[in-house]
Amino acid sequence: MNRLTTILLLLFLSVSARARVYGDSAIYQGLFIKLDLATTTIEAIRSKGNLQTYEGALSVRLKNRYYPTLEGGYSFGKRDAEGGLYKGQGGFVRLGLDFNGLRKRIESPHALLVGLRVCSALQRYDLCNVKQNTPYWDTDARVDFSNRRAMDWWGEVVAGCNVNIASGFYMGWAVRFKLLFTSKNKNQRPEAYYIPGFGFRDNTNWGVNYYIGWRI
Amino acid sequence: MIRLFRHIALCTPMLLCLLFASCEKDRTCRQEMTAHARINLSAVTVLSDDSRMEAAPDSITIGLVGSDSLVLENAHSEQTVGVELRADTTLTKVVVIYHEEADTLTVFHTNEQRYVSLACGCMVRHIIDSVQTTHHRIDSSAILNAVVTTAKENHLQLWFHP
Repeated sequence: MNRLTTILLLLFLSVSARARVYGDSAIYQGLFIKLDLATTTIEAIRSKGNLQTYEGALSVRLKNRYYPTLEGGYSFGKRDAEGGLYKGQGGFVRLGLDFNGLRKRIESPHALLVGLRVCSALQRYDLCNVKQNTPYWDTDARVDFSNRRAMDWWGEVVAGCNVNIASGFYMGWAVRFKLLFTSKNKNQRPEAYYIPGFGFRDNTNWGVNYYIGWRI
Repeated sequence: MIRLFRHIALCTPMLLCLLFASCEKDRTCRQEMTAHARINLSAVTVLSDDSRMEAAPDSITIGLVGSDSLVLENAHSEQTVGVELRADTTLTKVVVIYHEEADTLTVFHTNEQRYVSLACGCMVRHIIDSVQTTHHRIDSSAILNAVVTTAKENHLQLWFHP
């Protein structure tokens, strides 16, 4: 694990160094670090503070056209429905590639981006006070499912933009259409109500990010 | 061009945020979640030419052992009745009173708890292994469909003496 961390750190430093040396080269045009503000805000408003997600992204600009991207984040969630309560937390990663859709002035620091992602989330969760639906015998029988772990996979189509606001400082947004590969309750197991990075469990979902970022 | 980009970068997300903030997952259960074992009831009359005529029993009361409330009380022309099998044990006893004589139908079953969703909870699915009856008024019984889910199918058949 320590070796992996060292390798990643060296890779990051080497890319940063190349960014400084070859900042305006034909192949490599910089490393971007982005912090998402929208998901955190929207989920906090929508859930009245019960859902918190923090996410960021790392991407490089290659040949002014390609943006290999790694996104990651962490969520804390608590949600109730008809007396049942979901409590969970976990991390997620998204790996993919964006294309710069600008035809004219492709060397401009701005970009219109369209891309694809493969995503995964790992979480630990509890489902408490779940209804048993035996109304004749016991009108309010409940059951708990505790200490469960789940890994989910999904794919995304992403569209957005990355705009140079000031020297090295960028803002941008992305809209995402998400398709869950680990399908909705196929085996009728007590599945997590919420998936970090994906949202509420459903076959499809939408998302929006609003980034602030820096080019290094 | 730069102005247009800055406009897109700064203004559009605010509208999108408002749009997404107003979306909310439905937290109400809208599906039938209780599985009922449906019993088909037939009163058999033997005619003078030895042929059998089946009809709905004219006066029947049905209750479950272990519960105070009745499922049917002195019902007329009721062809089918749904009873909820027990989820906490593998044996459910049904008391059937027909023409003031009581019989007991004992249903042996296995239970499977299936999670549906947080809003809907779990559904208990039963598999009927066997049935036994007393024979004061019940002539015979049969299992029509052993798997009891929320689907509206007949699972058991009871035939009564006239």
